[in-house]
This record gives sequence, structure tokens and C-alpha cells, in this order.
Amino acid sequence: MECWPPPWTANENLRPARPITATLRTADVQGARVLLNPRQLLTGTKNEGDMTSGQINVARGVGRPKSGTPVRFPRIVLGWLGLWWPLVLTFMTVSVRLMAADGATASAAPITRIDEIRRLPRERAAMEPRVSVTGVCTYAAAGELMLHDGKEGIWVSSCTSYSRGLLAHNDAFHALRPGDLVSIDGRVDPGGYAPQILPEALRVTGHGPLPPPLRLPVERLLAGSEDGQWIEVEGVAQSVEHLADRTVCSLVVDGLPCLLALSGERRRELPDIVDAKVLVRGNYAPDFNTRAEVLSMKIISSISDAVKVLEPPPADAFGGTRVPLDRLCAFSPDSKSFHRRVTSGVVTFVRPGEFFIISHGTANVRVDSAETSVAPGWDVDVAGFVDTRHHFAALHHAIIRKRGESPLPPPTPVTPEVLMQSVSRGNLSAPAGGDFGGRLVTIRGRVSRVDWNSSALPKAIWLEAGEHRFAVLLPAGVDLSETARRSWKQDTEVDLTGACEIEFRNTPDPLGLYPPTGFHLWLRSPGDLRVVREPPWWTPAKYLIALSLALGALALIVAWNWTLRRRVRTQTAMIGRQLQQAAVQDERARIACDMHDEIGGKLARLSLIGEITANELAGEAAAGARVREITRGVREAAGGLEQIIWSVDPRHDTLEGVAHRVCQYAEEYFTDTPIRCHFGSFPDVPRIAVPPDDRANVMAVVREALANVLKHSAASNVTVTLDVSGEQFAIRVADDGRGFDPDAAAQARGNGIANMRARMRKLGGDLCLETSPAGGTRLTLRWNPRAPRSENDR
Amino acid sequence: MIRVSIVDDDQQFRELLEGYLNLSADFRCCSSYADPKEALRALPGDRPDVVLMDLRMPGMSGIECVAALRQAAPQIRAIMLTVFEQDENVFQALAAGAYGYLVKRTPPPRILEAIREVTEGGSPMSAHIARKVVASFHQQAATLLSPQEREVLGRLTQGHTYSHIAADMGITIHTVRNYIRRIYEKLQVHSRTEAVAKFKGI
Repeated sequence: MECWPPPWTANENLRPARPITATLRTADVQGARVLLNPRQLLTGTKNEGDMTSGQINVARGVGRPKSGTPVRFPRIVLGWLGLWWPLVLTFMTVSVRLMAADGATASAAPITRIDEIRRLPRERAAMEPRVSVTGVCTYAAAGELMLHDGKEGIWVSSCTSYSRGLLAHNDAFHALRPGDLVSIDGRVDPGGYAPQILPEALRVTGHGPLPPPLRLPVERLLAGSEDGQWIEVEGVAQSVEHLADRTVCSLVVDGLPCLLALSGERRRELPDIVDAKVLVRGNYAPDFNTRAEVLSMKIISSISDAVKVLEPPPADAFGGTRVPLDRLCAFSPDSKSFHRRVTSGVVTFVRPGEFFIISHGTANVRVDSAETSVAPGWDVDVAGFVDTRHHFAALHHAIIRKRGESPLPPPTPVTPEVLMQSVSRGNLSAPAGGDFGGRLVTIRGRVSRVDWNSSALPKAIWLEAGEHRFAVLLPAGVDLSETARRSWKQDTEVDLTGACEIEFRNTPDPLGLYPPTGFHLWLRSPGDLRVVREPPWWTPAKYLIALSLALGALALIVAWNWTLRRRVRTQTAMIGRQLQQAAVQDERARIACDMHDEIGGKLARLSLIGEITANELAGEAAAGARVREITRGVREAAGGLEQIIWSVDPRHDTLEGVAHRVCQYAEEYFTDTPIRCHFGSFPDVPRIAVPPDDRANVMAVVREALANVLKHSAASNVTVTLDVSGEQFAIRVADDGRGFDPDAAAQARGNGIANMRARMRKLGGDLCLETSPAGGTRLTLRWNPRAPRSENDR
Repeated sequence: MIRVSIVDDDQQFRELLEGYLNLSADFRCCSSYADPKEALRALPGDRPDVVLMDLRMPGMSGIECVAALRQAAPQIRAIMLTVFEQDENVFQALAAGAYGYLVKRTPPPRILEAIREVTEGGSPMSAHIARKVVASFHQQAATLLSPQEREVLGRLTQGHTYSHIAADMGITIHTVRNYIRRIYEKLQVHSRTEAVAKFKGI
């Protein structure tokens, strides 16, 4: 025999009843509010048997719902209950205490009561204590079920058990139907919102009637505390949508939206309930968010008679009283809420399958409708439910009836400033921005950004007009022409025509106004965007690039110019120097040539004349001697001239020329003298240019040295040796004369040696004097003809 | 009697030298020319033993004239007259075929000596010219010149006189002169070869 306690009643009108023990048929149990057998709870006895003939011990109280069916207990039973009431109460208190002690001492004992599970703190539930519960299944779909133990209901998630490996695939779960009596062993799980049971074993023990549903006030439902409970609600159905695995109806229950999700095989047999007043029976399963917070009301049901029509919908949906478009939610003494209202207007904008806008006078109303055939220009009757979630009343789940066609109202040119004007509440005569809500308007603006959905379709275009920035939403599924795509460039100035949707504050501002917070524009076609002016060719980025390019080019030009100028300067200076040198050389060459031809030739002639004349004056010794004297002078002058011409002639500006000249001069100098001149082997003289000044200095030193040998050494031999060793060039004049004391000589001969040293220093070289009274004199000139020297050193 | 011709554009010098030669015994000035081209045409007919040729003349240089004369009348020996010994052209003239050179201011008796030496088969070579000859031969001196010639040339560059060289080498001055003559001839041949080589870019 199965005995299950029926649910608590949450009804405030529950009346206490006298305790009673009675044997009831299950038919009688329906509608009873409290049935509890403390003894059985204490022992955990689970008797199997036919529920229909089960014995029920009523141990606490009997309630009667306000609007429910009265409990049909015999009067005598009630009387007995009343007599035994104090005794039962005492017994129950003791039982509960014993049970608590039992739970504390044997923690491993499974929890058997759903109300206890539901009241487990979330932390405790997370420890997944074991459960072993018995009850009736009130909802079963796709392996999920709701279990009701007669008092409270709970969600049993076999899917979670499967995924966690607690339960092997069990056909019994899928075969369950509402009304099946089941025993479940498993664990508690904190669940997404409320605790749930993860089944590990299931046993179907029979079939029985469903428990009587609770009727709860909406505030209890919104509080979320009744998650999983078996309830019934009354409301107006506003839509029915058959999905693959369920049928979803939207209800308005006490003015609030409540979803109804129907499962089961017979859900498609639902009659037309839209706009009907219905009674719905099912398990309360509110939607919740990721923070386990309740969001909205929802009822799930898998029983076949979940929906009972209380008031059928009107036979003609458009037959009701007509409401002008601008009075949808306006005051009326006989407003009939949450049922369809009928109105009419001209369709001005359509977003196929989503919504359209109808216009009448200055009123423009958005109508959410899955209707796809509607087109702009249609004059339509609309029957829809008023949607008051927006600032302006809109219609949803509407049905339409075409009456004819009317010309579209022309778009109103507006500016964002006008649209954003605050609305004067209740003052209908004053125009305000809000009046443009839903209206076709034309706005001029500048494209500031384009969000591309894909390469072909922008998600939205952002525009700027004045200080306002707003989005322009394009018609869905329209193929855009290349031209249109290209015209949506940043900074393009455009005129846009479309339906304007204005957003408002949700709560009033300190002045009690609901000012607009923004708006966007729905375009009807790409043609609603008309380019007024192309963007200027330059953008800040392009400008910066152009500027940096120009600066770079300028810098290059300046650098190039500077380099060029410097090169020209250097070249000019070099050419100038070369020209100058060439001119000087030409001049020197010319002077050398002139002296050679003019003076040289004349001196040669004169010496010949002198010689001949001296011969002719053979008789006159004195005159002959004078003439010979003249002739020798002329010859010496010619020698000096030769030396001058040599030093002037630029052809001898080489080290080789110097070397030859030194030897030639020495050879010539010692001709007809007692001193014999010898030469060392002539070295391989490198071809180096020697500046004329250097040449002159070297020759001057050499002349001085040879003159000293001739005048002072009393030598019989002199050897002139040239030597090239490394970079150094040396000229050595060695005699076998008597030598001298350099200190004494310095005084005796004045500045001769000092002058020679000074000249060699000008060359960057030196003079080495080795002398001894017995061993002759050795004078060495040494310098580096390659060493670069500044002009000053020369 | 030594027949001498003079080619010099300096008329006064030419006449003076002509007069001096004619006054000297054993010397006879058979002809004198101011224009080297005219001289070149007439000299083979004049048959002088020695021609004194100025180095620098208008129209044709003494070097060219010597070179041409060398072809036309090889038996005529040319002695170059130059104002200054250092003149670069002196060596070129010697390489072109001259047998010696004289600085114009040289005392006339020495001029006569030089002419006589040339006619006797000698060739005057100073240390300076010897160095130039060595420089001209470069490394080829070893193959072109005989050891004796090289020794004579080396001693000349060191400033030794002919008599010293003859004494040191144990040969006669005449032999020394012969060596020097041969050195000159080889220099001329070498110079021509070198000129050809230069011309051909070898």
C-alpha cells in the first residue's frame, strides 16, 4: 500500500481541522490539503500497493482552498480529528525530534523528503547527500521529470546523471508518464537555480492520479520560491508557437508575461487559444540567469489537458471595438486589458518577418508581427496585443487585414536636435521630439563609421549630425550595389530617409520627464541613403602621410642640395688650385724657356766672343787676361742661370729630377778642381712629385755642402751618394778632408750649418753632420718626400 | 783636316764658331745652316766629318734632324750643341744618334777637342749621361750590354774619368772609348725598339 502525503496548501484561507484517522479512496484525496502519517515517516516504511485502496492517516490538519472543491470528509471523521488534535500534535512533535536525532546520528541515511531537500542550504546541497524518495511524476519529457511526494515537487534530472556517469541509459525514464508512481534513489545536486535530484536508480511502482495543483499569487511565483511546484494559473494567451520538441505559448498572468512550454504527444491538438482566457496546469519552472537568479515566469507541462479554455477568443478578431492609433493606451473608462485591440493605419515601413510601422495622422506605431506579405502603402486593420514595455505603446502578435492602399505620407525633414527634444508629458498641443517616433524622416549627416557584417553587408552605419551620433540600420537581406557600398565612406555627407525609432529614459528625470536618450534610423532600401557630398580627398591620415612625404622630400632636397653645393665648392676649389698651379707652372715654364733662349743663348755667344777676342789679343797680355776674366764671369753667370732655370722649370718637379740634378751639379762643380767627385751607385728613385720650394731647399743645402767641401776640407775625393730606404730619401756628401770641430766651425762659419738645418726642417727632414779632424766629413740630408705637409711648413 | 758643318738658328753664334773653326788648324767649316730642313737636304752633299747641331731650332728640332741625318748619311757624326747640359733633350738626341754633346759656353778649345775625339771614334759621356743611359736600359742592361760595357758604364756613373777607368780595368783609353761607342750604338738601337714598342702599345 502506498501512502503519500499531499502537498502543502499555500492558500492563505487554510482552515485548521480536527485530527482524524480515516480510510479514504484516492478520489476523495483529491482536493485534500494535508495528509501526513508521522509513524510512517519515522519508520520510513514504504508499502507497495494499489493507491486507489490505500489507507491515509490524516495527522495534521485539513484545509479548504478558497475556490477549490470542498473536501468531502464525513462529518464524524472531522469530529474525530477535532477530538484527537492535541494528541496528534504532541505525537508529531516527538516524532520530528526523534527523526532529527536519527538524522544527526546516522548521517549516511538518505533524505526521503522533498521539502527537506528543497530547504538544504546550497553549500550542503553541493555535498550531494544521498536521497531516496517516492512520489508521483507530474512532468516527464525527454528523460527529465518532476517528482511530487504529495507535499512538494522537485526536478529530477536524469540527463545530468547520464552526463556525470551516475546512471546508465535507462529506458524507464523515457517511458515515464505523468501520474506514474516512482521510487528514486540518488543524490542531491544544487542545480542551476534550485536543488534537484540526480537519480541513480528508478522504480515504477504504479500509476495514480496527479495531486491537486496549487493556486499561487503572482508575487509568490515571481519570488521563485515555488520552483518545481505543481500549480495552476489563469491568464490570457497571446501567442502559440509549435516548435519541434515543444509548444510555446505566451500568457499574460495578472498583467505579467508568463511562458508556457507544453510537451507531450497531444500538444498539437491545442485549440485556438490566442486572445482566450485559459486555465493552465503544470510545474512552475521559472527561467533564471547564470547567477542563479530568477528571471521570468514559466510553466512546463506534459499532461494532455494542461490548458483549459475559460473564455474562448472572439469569433472575429477584428470585431472588437476600434481604438484610434493614437489612443492605444490612452485613458478609457472601459479598458479591457491584455486582449487584442483593433486599430488601423497605413503601413509606412516594413521589416519583413519582424515588424512594421503603421501611421495615422501624427501617430506612428510599431507592430511586431511575423507577417511577411505586408508592404508599405497598405491601409490595414491591425488586431494585436498592446506591448507597454516601450515608451510608446506598440502592438505585438498582431494579425492584419488589408483594406486598400493609400499614398505614403512624405518624410519629414528633421535634425537630431529636434528628435532629441524633451517631451512635455500630457501636453499634446506642444510638438516634441517624441512625436517623430516611428515616423518617416529625412536627416542630413556625415558618415563616421561603417560596421561591416561581411564584405558585402554593413551591420550598421554610424552617422554624425551636429553633436549627435546615431546608427542607421539597413534592410536585411538586400543586395547592395557597388555604388552604394562605395558611397558609405567615412566623412561622406548624406541625406537619409527612414523610420525613426527613439529611445527614452526608463525612469523619469528630476523634472518628471522621460527625455529621449537616443535614436536610430531604419532604412527601407539602400536608395534611402543619398550622397550629398563626397568626403574631402584628404583625411588626417592621408594629410599626415602627404606632409611627412613632403617633409622627407624637402629634407632629401636640402641634403642633396647641400651635398651638391659642398661638392661644387670642393671641386671649384680643386680646379682653382689646379688652374693656379697650371698657370704657375706655365709661367715658370715660359720664364725658363725665355731665360734659356734669350739670356742663355746670349751668354753662350758672349763666352765664345770672349774666348775668340782673348785669342785675338794674344799680344796684349793684360787685355787678354781681362777678356778671359770677363769670359769666365759670363760662363759663371751662365752656370748660375742654368741653376735658376733648372729650379724654375716645372718639368724637374720630381724626386728623380732632384737626384739627377744633385749628381750633375756635383760633377760639374768639381770639374777643373783638385777634388775628384765620385758617386755611389744611382738608386732606383721613386716617381714622386717634389714641390719647387723643396727642390730649391735641397739644392741650396747641397750647394752649400759642396761649397764647404771645396773651400774648407782640403780633400782630394768627395763622394756623393743617394739612398732610398723605405720612405726616407737621403743624400750623403762625404769627403776625405781634414774635418773640423763642429762647435768651432759654428762660430767660424757663421750660420752656414744652422741655415742648412733650418732648410731641412722646412722639408720635415734633418741634417746629420759627422766629422772628425782625422776622418773627413760626412753630411747627410734626410727627409721623407711623401710625408704630407701643410702649406705653412713649406 | 776635319770638315765641320754647323746647324744653328743663332746666326751670330754660328758665324763666331765658324770663324773660330776656320782659324783653327786642322778644322774647316765647310757649311753652316740656320734651317735644319735645308741642312738635312744639303749635308749629305757637303760631306762633313762632324756636324755641330743646335738642339733647339724652329721648324725642326735637333733630335729629329739627327735622326733623319742618321738615315740619310750615317757617316756624318753629329754633336749636339746645347745652352744647358741639363736639357732633357740632350739624352734624347744621343739616343737618336748623336755622338756627343757640347754646352755652348764651353771654352772653344774644349769644343775643338770634343770634335777631334768624335772623329777619332770616341764618344764623350759624362757621369750624368751615363746615369741616364743606365736608367734607359733598366733591367735590360744585363742582356743588352756586355760585362765590360756594364763595368765601364757603372764606373762612369760613379764619376770616374776615362783614364781612371782604363787604368782600373787594365785596358787602354781607346778600348774604353770603343766600349762607350758601342754603348751609344746599343742605346740607339734600344731606343728605337723602345719607341716602336711604345708606339705599338707593347
